[in-house]
Order: sequence, then C-alpha cells, then structure tokens
Amino acid sequence: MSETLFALVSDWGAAALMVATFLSCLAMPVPTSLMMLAAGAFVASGDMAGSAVVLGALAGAVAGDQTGYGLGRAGGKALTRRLRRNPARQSVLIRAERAMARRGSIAVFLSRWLFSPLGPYVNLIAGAATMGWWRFTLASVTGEAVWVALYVGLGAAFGNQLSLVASVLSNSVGLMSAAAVAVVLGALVWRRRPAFSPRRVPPA
Amino acid sequence: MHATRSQARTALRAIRRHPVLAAAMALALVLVAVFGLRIAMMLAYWPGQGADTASLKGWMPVGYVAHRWDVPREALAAALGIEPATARRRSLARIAAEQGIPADELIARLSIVIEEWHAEHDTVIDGAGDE
Repeated sequence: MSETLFALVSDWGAAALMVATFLSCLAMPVPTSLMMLAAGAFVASGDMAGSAVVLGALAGAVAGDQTGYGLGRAGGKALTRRLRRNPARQSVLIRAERAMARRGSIAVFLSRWLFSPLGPYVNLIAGAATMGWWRFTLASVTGEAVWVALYVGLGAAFGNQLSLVASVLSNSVGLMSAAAVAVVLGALVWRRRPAFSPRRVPPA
Repeated sequence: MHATRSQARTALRAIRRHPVLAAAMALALVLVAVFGLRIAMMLAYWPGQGADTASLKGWMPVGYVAHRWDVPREALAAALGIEPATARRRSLARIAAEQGIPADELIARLSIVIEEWHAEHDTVIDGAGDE
C-alpha cells in the first residue's frame, strides 16, 4: 500500500502531490502525509526539487480549501435561508456565525495541520457561516504552509525510516483531533449543566 | 475540597442531562487512549528497517538509493547503464521496465553493486543509518 504511494511520488513528482493534497482537503481518504514524507526524502536525496514539492503540495491544498469553502458557502445559503424562518434556529445560526467571526481564523489555521482530519469540515462550516474570504484564505494559506513544511521537512530528516515516521505522525494527529473533539464536547456538556443545584455552595 | 465535590456532582448531573454528548465525549477519550497506546507500541517495538540491501524496493529513485546506502549516484547509474543526469527521480521499477527486465533482477544487480562498492571502500553498509 505505502509502496504504491511512494511509487506515485517517484513517477509523477509534484503533480501527484498536488492532486493528493487537493483531494485530502475535500475529505477524500488519500494518505497525503505519506506522500509528502516520501517527497521530503526525495528532496534530501536530490531526486526532486524542494521548490516544486512545496509549491505543488501547497497549490493543491489551497485549491482544495477554496473548493470546500465555496461549497460551504453555496450550500450554506440554501440551508440558512430555511433555518432563518424559525426564530429558535436563527438564534443558533447567529451564535454559530459569531463564533466563527471570533475564533474562525485560529480554527482554520490549526485544522490545517494539528487537527488535520477536521480540516475539510471546518472549510464547509467556514463557508456556510460566511466567514470573510480574506480571513479564511489567510488562515488557510498559512496553515497549509505549516502542514507542508512540517511533513516535507520530517521526510527529509528521516528519509530512511519513512514508514515509522508516517505511522507515528498519523497516530499523533489522530490523538490530537480526538482530544480536541473531547474538549469541545466536554465544554458543551459543562456549559449546559443544570443551573440550579440544591446543594450548591454559596459564593465566598 | 467541598467546592470540588459539589462541582463533581454538578458535572455528573450535566452528564446525566446530556447522555448523547457525554457518550460522544467518552468515545473521543477512548480514541485518545487508543492512539496514545499505538504510538507507544510503535516507538517501543518497531522492527528496525533492514540496514542491508534487502530493503531495496522498486519505488525507490536511484538518487534515494545512492543517498540511503551512501554510494555515489554515478556509480549506481553506471552499473545500471543510464546517464546520471537522467537518473533523477526515476524509480528502479521504471528503469527496469524501460530496460525490459523484471524489477527484481535489477534490484538484485543493484544490491551486488552496493555491496561491492562498500567492500572496495572498506565501509559498512548501513541503509538505515541515522543522519
């Protein structure tokens, strides 16, 4: 499996990376991180040009983000029009838009690399919640740059141990993403805790 | 102390009130533990990648082989009968296909070249060496 992916990189070069990063930003299950690691190793061995690798991977990723954002925006318009008719739902929607306005940039930035499995969904939500295009694009480009630099750099440094590095990385990203989901759900449960408690301690 | 206990009770009540959200959070925490265990196992028990030429594979470009097994690219290119300049990024499998021979045959030939080069230069073959 991983050897087929490595062969894709050695046979197609930066073009393979561009397609892979594009698809993975749209939630397609493409093991892009493995391919970027291999590309990094090939840069270190002089088989590929570093600039082509970075530009190819970055171009695909940014184009994928823009596509997700555009889809969210188009789909969101139809959805929100229906939601706005109901006052209760409208208030939820307004809260979602406010949250995106407050913390959208950091959510987009971190979901490019630290919580990357969440990235495609954040794109859709950012588009649907009408996060500003410039803010989205700035956070997307900087976040993807960190993602690409991190994986290509690690591939260049540990080219002899590609499969170990790939396995440890993918599990670390999974761990971080699961932890982020747990924290968000925990905060939701805590925020909605029963207001009245008969044995509550009076404030000191 | 008392405040902490009362907070714990409040948390329990919150969990009881939102069982679905709480269950999802528990599932996410289980996933955190699973990923953590897997990382620990990998770092502890990963079988070292073969240092010898047995780990030569068809996907490897010539330059990568030269880099990893510490043999000049020119020596490998000469042994494969290709120009060093055209060796860039071409995988062993592709070169074998171009020459009309099975990839295994080309890999076998290449491993002999690597072993001989290191024997001649009195160096140790270490394809899994630390950088």
